[in-house]
Amino acid sequence: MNTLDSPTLEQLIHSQPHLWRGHSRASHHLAPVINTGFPKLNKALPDGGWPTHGLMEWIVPHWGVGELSLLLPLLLHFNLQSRWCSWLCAPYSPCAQTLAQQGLDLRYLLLIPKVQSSASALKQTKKYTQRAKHSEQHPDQNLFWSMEKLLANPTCGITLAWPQQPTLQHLRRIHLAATNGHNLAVVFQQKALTNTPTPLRIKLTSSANQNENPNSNPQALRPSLKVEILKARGSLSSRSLQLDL
Amino acid sequence: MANPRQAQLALALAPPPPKKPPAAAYKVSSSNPAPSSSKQLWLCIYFPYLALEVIAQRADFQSIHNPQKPLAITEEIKGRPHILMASRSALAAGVTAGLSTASALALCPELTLCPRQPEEEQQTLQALAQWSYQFTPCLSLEFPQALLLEVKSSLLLFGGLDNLSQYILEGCQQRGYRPCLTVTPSPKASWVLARAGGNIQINQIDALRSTLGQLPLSSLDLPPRTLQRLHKTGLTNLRDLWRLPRADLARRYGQDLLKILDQMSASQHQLLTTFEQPLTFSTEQDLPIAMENWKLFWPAIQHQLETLIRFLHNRNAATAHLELSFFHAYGARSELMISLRTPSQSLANLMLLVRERLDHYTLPASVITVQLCTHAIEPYRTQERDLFQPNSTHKIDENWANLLDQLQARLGPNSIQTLQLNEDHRPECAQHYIRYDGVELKPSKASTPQTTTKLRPYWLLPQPRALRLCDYTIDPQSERIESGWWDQHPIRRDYHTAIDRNGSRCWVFQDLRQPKRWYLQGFFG
Repeated sequence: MNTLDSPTLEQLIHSQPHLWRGHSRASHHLAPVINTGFPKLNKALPDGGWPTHGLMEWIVPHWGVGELSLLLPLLLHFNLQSRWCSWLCAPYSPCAQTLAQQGLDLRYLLLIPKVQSSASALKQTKKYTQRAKHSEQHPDQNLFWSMEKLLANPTCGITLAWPQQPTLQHLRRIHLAATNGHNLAVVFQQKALTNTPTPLRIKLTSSANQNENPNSNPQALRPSLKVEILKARGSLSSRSLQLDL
Repeated sequence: MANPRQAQLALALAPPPPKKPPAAAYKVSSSNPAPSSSKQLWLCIYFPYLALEVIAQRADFQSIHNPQKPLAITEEIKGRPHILMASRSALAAGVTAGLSTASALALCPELTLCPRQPEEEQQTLQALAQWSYQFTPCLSLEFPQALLLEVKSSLLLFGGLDNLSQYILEGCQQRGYRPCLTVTPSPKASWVLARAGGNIQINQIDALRSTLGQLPLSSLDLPPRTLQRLHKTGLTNLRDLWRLPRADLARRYGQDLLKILDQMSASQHQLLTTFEQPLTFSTEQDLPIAMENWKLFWPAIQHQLETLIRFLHNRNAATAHLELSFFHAYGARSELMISLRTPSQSLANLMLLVRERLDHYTLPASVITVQLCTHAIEPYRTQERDLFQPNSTHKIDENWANLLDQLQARLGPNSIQTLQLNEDHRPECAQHYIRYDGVELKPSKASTPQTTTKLRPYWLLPQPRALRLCDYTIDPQSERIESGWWDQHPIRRDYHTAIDRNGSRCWVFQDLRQPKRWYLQGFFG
């Protein structure tokens, strides 16, 4: 029965180009992607790799868990195309030696450290009290403004940002700018917002068990990275996988 | 003085020079031109002690050192520093030019030694040239350590040569320089005579020749080989040279010697590159009433920018720096500086930058006058691309540069940074942030220092943070970094990798200088 039915069903589905199929990637158009360096992760991501443009949200509850190692293929991809890599409000300083060791050309690195918002600069002047009434500024206003400007420029490659409190509106604007400028934006957050418009959201945690005494476990010194795909446009299921960095 | 006949004999005996092209390009046959009253008079302001005066005038030097303290300028000769010149108090202690620094210090232990600063000397000369622009429009910086002014046309205005010289001399002395002034009809002769130390005034070409005749040949800046050959022939003075037939001189010593002789005696006109005042632009506009909000007087600024752009377009120039000044009541004034990454002549770009700056600028008081000026005007260059590799631009995209300018205008002058590697093993010193103001991408990849191939973390903390050992699981394998004993920040540390409670891999170290103190340096993010 099945053997007779399935070809007709396949044919039926193929005859309808507007039909969206949840799990299979065979039917819809494959967008160009960037290899993540991990076959397991490639398989789990909707098009078989990181997107080349648009917005990604990485939720990292604790900085330094392995997010930069995972990011490296992306940085190298844009670096090879002589496009720029901008770091906005990074929590720590990236180590130039490591980046150079990994083959990154440091000339294409731009760092914009924590930007003093103009509101705090204004505080020193008398006029602040008058102005502050009608423009109470968001702490990340300058960051998102710079990010939007950078992403709208086609020369800009990848922009990494560590905002304090992004809002849905900010993320939507960033996504639009990145898509129009064909650039990639990665927003790092410690706490996840719900229902964001971002097409790809992943959460990165360390697999090390906090309760277990690490001294007894020989594997404890090389914990693997746990990647949870919270949301990926184009695929239904959320899944989680372990990567050994 | 050498006998001319003797000299001719010596000329005949001297071996003929190796193959030289025939001296046809230069008119060797013409005898000395008829003497005439000179059309030009060149005033040379020669600064014999410029190297010393430049150092002595430095603000930091004046504050630290007593002007009476002995000071000497050193210059490297064959890789070893020697005294070039010394101040009066140093000369009194016996320090003379040509001494090695060790013997100078032995003679005068409190002597301050400073290496020569050629760039600063040149800048000082430029500034002095701008000052002397008031005396004549024809001014040259072509001779070392000297300014040459053509003063014939200015004599009437300044009431004669004596008055003018006196005026210039006083002006220089007020600024702290001791020049030698010489006036002759030939620029080269003025310079040579001034360098020989004379304060001489010569108006007539004939008088010039008789004065110059006594000068030794070594005071001309001849190539050392030619000078040696002339000395061997028994020629010591310029007069000896003038007595020799010109054709033979040109054949034996080259035409350059004849050219120098003619330039000295003002029979050949020497073309000098004239000094030009740097181009500036300034415009000022009064507002009808005092205004507090810049948006109200934006049209005035816009108009001024348009005038500037027209000015630039007419000269095919571009500017990289704008100064916007606001004048308030009672003479108060506030300024806004706008710097560009690449010189621009585009109105839209400049307007965008000025608006961006004003958006985040609070005027201290209401404005009555707006002034726009720029000194940084340079020739406009369009974007260059490689013919063979059109995609590999060495200059960054103009669009991108404008964007970075815009970011910088809003975020502040030091907001855009980039990382640079240093050759140092200390993690704190191995990299530093530099302000990103690059226009061109320097080929730095080849020179990337590789101090280590060991594992380094991705994240570095700005300062090592003290940690409690119980929160971390530490890998016993360690890497010892011990460096910097030669400067202020010596370190002696054992670096380990560790896992913290969150499961992040960290780079921690034990400070061996204060045992049992552990610090967190970075994360292997």
